[in-house]
Amino acid sequence: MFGYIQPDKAQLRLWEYEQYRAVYCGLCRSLGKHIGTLSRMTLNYDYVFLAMIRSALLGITPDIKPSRCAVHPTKKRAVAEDDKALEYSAKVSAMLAYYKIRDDIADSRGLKKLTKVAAEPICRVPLKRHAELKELGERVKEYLRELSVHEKNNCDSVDAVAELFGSVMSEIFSYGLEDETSVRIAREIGRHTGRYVYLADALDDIEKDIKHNTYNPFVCMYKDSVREKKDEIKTAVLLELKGLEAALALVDFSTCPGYKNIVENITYLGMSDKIDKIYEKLTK
Amino acid sequence: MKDPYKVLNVPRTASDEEIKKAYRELARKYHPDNYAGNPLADLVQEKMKEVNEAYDQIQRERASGGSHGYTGAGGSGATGFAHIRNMINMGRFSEAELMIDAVAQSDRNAEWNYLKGVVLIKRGWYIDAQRYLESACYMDPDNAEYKNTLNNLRNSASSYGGGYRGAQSSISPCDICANLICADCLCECCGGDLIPCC
Repeated sequence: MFGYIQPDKAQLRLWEYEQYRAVYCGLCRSLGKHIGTLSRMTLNYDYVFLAMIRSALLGITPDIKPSRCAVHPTKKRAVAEDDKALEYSAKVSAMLAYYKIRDDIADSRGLKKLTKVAAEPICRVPLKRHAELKELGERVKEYLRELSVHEKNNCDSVDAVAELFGSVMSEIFSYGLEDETSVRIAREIGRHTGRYVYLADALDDIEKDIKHNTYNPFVCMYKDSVREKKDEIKTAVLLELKGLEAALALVDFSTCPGYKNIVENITYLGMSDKIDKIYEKLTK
Repeated sequence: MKDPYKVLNVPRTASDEEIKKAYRELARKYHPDNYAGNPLADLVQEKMKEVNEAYDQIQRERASGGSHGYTGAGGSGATGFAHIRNMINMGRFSEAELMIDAVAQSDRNAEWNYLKGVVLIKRGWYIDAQRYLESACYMDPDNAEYKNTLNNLRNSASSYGGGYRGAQSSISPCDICANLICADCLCECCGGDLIPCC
């Protein structure tokens, strides 16, 4: 999750924006509490989406209160109190941050590598304490390993690679849910979210990857004509969002009604807006 | 069974037109065509069934009874005041009110209080209406019709704002006072004064 799952802030009502930020602050605190102070730097806004979906699927009513924190000492801000959904999302964010760092260590050299090596224990060490996430970690690692094999072999099926990342997210959204219906909905949301993120990221990187001659599934697939296929690619990504929309329509937000609009804003406006921006950049 | 109004996500006070609109929107959202080949198709089918049932139920209730009130005000338990109920159902409220007021003091039972409340709602006298409905509920606590009408009245008040309300306010009155006093202290430090009395 890398900056592709964010709301169109201008279209949020003020109190929705406040709730959105409250969940982010709550996640940050939860990270500090369950993982460690330094890990709070690894958080990004994408995990708010995960936390909100998990709240709805777990039937949690968020407890949002004004409070102060060390990062913003001057003013009281609305912060969501730690609950099962926040705790889980925070831990997962630390887990993915750790895998990302490990991946970067393998890919980088010199001073950059050194800083990554230094940062690696921040998330790794505390994650060991949380045995309940071990199984999820194994599954995610397996998919990511498979993904990197595909990438190394220059896989020319975009769908096959994206599906692996979809599987990662599918595990993450549904892990630990008990009710069978919720699991199915969560898997579907996760799958489309993961596929969308992967496709958007690959689309975003086309020019960069051509320049540095690094792997990009679209370039592998379309070769030199990749720029002409932009419309096709965009259609595919938007269809992914249709699938996400269909799954989201089944989520029951009755315990956290405020989240419904925010989640819909993220998917209907934020994500498609992001795609439009990437597309425009390519068209230039 | 779920509250049909909740399923359609409309307030109890919604007009027939609004209900139809909400229903159409949901029907479009959960239309089987949108889920052709979707692994969640069976869940959507259930959802669609729920929406259809809710819509049917509201239609039935509104056709059979008073304008609001989803347990069908009007008719069922009518005993002594059938003629007044008929007037109300026909929408002839001022005549109904005259008949209500003509009832002798000694005959004014729970149902009388209820009908008086209903007529007052129509007139827009909500404070009096609540008082009479409360008396009706007090005199006959087991009557669902009375209780529902009173609850509906209160619910329709709390659903005011068309979904715009419901935000958590993050500033308490205490905070405002504390902030003002702090600001006053700061001003005084610099020789000014924000709150002259302290």
